[in-house]
This record gives sequence, C-alpha cells and structure tokens, in this order.
Amino acid sequence: MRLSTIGGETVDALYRQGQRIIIAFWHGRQLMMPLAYRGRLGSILISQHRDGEIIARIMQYFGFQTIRGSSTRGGLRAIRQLVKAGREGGDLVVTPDGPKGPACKVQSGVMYLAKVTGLPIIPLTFACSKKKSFRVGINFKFPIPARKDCSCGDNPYG
Amino acid sequence: MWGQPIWVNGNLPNDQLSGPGLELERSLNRLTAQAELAVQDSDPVQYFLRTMSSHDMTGKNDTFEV
Repeated sequence: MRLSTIGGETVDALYRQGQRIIIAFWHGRQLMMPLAYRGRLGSILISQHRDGEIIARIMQYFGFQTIRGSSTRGGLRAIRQLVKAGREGGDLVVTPDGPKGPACKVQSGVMYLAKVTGLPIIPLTFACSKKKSFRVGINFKFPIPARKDCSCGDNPYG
Repeated sequence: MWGQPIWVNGNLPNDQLSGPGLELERSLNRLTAQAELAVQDSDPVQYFLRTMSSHDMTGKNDTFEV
C-alpha cells in the first residue's frame, strides 16, 4: 500500500508553534486515522454503541485516548471530557457528522468545542483506490492494502 | 488530505455557530472530492476507464503506468 499526504505542512506549521488542534473528518474513516495523525497526543471521540467498542480498542492500540459518547448517548459528558483534554494540551479528533448522521452534515458539537477551547479545526479527509466498506453506523471505510492510497505518512514527531 | 484551519471566535453566540459549521462542511466535501479524484488518477484501471468513457481523446495523455 502506498500512502501520500497532501497539505500536511499546514498542520506541521501549527505544531511547530506549539498549537494544538481539533481534527475533523467525516464519519466512517476512523480506522485510517492512525496512518494520518501527525501529533503526539490525540483524544478521539467514539460513540458508546457496541460497534464503537471495536473501533475504540483499535484506536487505543495505536496510542489514542478514547472518549466515548455521541449526540444520542453520553454527548454532554463526552464534550466536557474533550474540553478538558483540549485544555490539558492534547489534540482532539472528532467526526462532525457523528455516527447517526445525516452523513456529511456538520453538527453543532464540534463548533461548540472549537469555540470553548479556542483550538482551530483542521479538516482532514482520506481516499483509497481500493477499499472495503461495511455497515457500522454510517458506511465505514477500510483501505485494502494492495492499492494506492491518498492520505497520511511521515509523522514529524516520529 | 489536510485542509486549512478554521478558527471559531470565542465570543461568537451559539446561534451563529452554523456559519463556521458551513465553512467546515464545504471544506470537508471539497477535500474529499479532490482526494477521491487524486486516487482515481493514480489507479491505471480507473484512469483508462475514465479516459475511454470521455469520448474525447484529443490532447489527452493516452499512456498510463501499469
């Protein structure tokens, strides 16, 4: 699988200034996040649904802190935890359309988070030339390691 | 594919958060479309199929890496 990154220099410049960020990408792309993440400490918001448990364990394996909740369950507590994590110097990783959708429509939670923490939101997306999509909430995408990808790569912090 | 930062003013009233929300939505949709196009162009089969279905080969590069 070949990976390539476009626009990563914007994020690197923010990190060099000591700025933490909120990373926002459409739902269904969490599993590609470990490939793309360029920071040191990220807290990712994952729903409390049982499907979310699988994703949460995978994210934890790759070093992410997981915060469980969504607009339908545990949302308020999750927002509080995200605000705390953001103020303590970590990056926040959220899907602004959430697990229930509507897909590709920004909900207010992420905007509130940016307002309260003062952190900039950085849009991030992924695409794969060959992928497997399966149903977890909204359509979930997983890259098949055989074709070229368009995402991520060189982490400036190793 | 990373986009440009979107800052939300801490003094912005909650009922006006939809403005930067729309900006984020447009940015994510535009980036996703660009990323999908980028991986299509890097896939020789997809490139061949798109080129053949365009009906206009004039000025187009008809070779591709396999």
